[in-house]
Order: sequence, then structure tokens, then C-alpha cells
Amino acid sequence: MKATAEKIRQEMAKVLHLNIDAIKDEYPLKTLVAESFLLIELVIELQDTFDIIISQDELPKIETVANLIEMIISKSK
Amino acid sequence: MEAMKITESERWLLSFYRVSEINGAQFFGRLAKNMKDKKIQYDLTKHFADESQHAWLWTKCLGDLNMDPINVMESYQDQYVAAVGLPTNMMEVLAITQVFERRVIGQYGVHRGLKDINPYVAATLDLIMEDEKWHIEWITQSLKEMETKFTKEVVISTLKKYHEADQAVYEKTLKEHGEHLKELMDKKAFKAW
Ligand SMILES: [Fe+2]
Ligand SMILES: [Fe+2]
Repeated sequence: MKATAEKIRQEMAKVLHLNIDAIKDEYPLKTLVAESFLLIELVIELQDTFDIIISQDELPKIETVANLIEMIISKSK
Repeated sequence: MEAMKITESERWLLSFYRVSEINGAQFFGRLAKNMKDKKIQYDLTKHFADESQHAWLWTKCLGDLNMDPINVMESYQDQYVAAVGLPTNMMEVLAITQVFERRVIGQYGVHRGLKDINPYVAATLDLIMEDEKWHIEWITQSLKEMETKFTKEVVISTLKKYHEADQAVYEKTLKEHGEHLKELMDKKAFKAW
């Protein structure tokens, strides 16, 4: 699936059981997903959905929701 | 079988194994819930079921020896996460699991080799080791298949990274919980393989 900010947010809301409005661009990912394993579940699910690869080394680069969305869009063809 | 006594150190070790099996089960269980790759999901679910069963077998083994498990707070996996962080994609999950499973098999093998091993512990290890062979097999196979998507170089370098972390974690564990393992290692009571 080709990634758009809207689709990514929808997917995030689904995995995190949150309302889509609760996923704000400026939110630090670690605040939104406090439990580290849930973060991994989320990242794996997003990779599955948008057919991309995010490696462990790239994770520190993702600080906010906006960073995550940008990275997925840039990797998604 | 007569319930021969085991030492407090061995009780601690069996409790540590038990917690590590539970953590393994929880990790695979969570990942297996939703997956696109149905072949991996199938094997991962079986792997989850096996590790749950192993946790039960250690609990039962301690029970048969009239002992309760000691509440061990930190598992081997926790130390992995502290050393290298959580894996981020399925290839990394499988790579870290392969390294971990090899470590477990090595440790269980050493334990099984004790000359005066308690028969309940021996029987439990034999049951678990049967499953462990398949764990290594399916993961090795799946990692091979992932080379297409991730490239062989990346798979190899990821394995190497986790191998190094595993070595460091094992040395740390020996340092911190040495007294429990030392008894096992120092006995020089291993059967000739
Ligand atoms: Fe196991
Ligand atoms: Fe295993």
C-alpha cells in the first residue's frame, strides 16, 4: 500500500487503540507509545502494511510522530 | 521417580529458565497475533505454544521436587534488550531469536551433561530439547528466505551484531549470577559426551 500521512495515522490509531485525532505530529513517539514492546509491534505492523523496512539503527532518528510519518512516506514506493 | 533434592542454586537456575521461557512465549505471542506473512505467523504461533509449554514444564518440575519457583526479576531476554535494544523488523526478530535459542540449547546441554543430574530435571531438559531443535530449524530457514528482501549481507551483519551482544550478556550473567552457575560449571561432573 502506498503510504500517505492519513493512512499511516489510521494504521497507528488501529494498533494503538487510539482516536486518530490523538495522534498529533509534534508528539514524541515515546510519549504516545510508552511501552517499548508496543512501539515495536507498531513499527512492525507499519512495515507490513506499507511494505517497507525500518532497521534498528534507524529507530533513534524517529523522535516524533511527524518523523515516523516522513520516514514511512520516503520509503514507500 | 523419587523426588531427589536439588540445591538452592539449581532451584534458582530452574526458576531463571522458567522466567526466560515465559518471556519468550510472551514475545512470540504478541508478535504472532497480527502478521501479514502467514507462513511466519504459523511457525511463530507454534513457537509461542512451545515456549509456554516449556515454562509449564519447569514449573511442574519444581513442583514435582516439592519446590516453588523463586521470583527471578530479570530474565536473559531483559539483558539482551538492555544490551542491544528491541529488534525493529521481522528479520531482526528472527536473528536475535536464533542467537538466543543457540545460547539456550548450549546452556541446557551443559546442564543435561551433569553426571549426578536429578532425574526430574533430566526428563524436563530432554522434553524441551526436542522442541529446541525445531526452533533453530524454522528460524534458520526463515532467515535464509529473508535474504531476498533484506540482502544476505544485512542478515549476516545483523547476526554478527547479536552474537557479540550475546557474548557480552552471557559474561555479564556469569558475573552477576555466577554463584548459581558456578556450582554447575565447577562440579567437573560432566559426563563424557
Ligand atoms: Fe524453550
Ligand atoms: Fe526455544
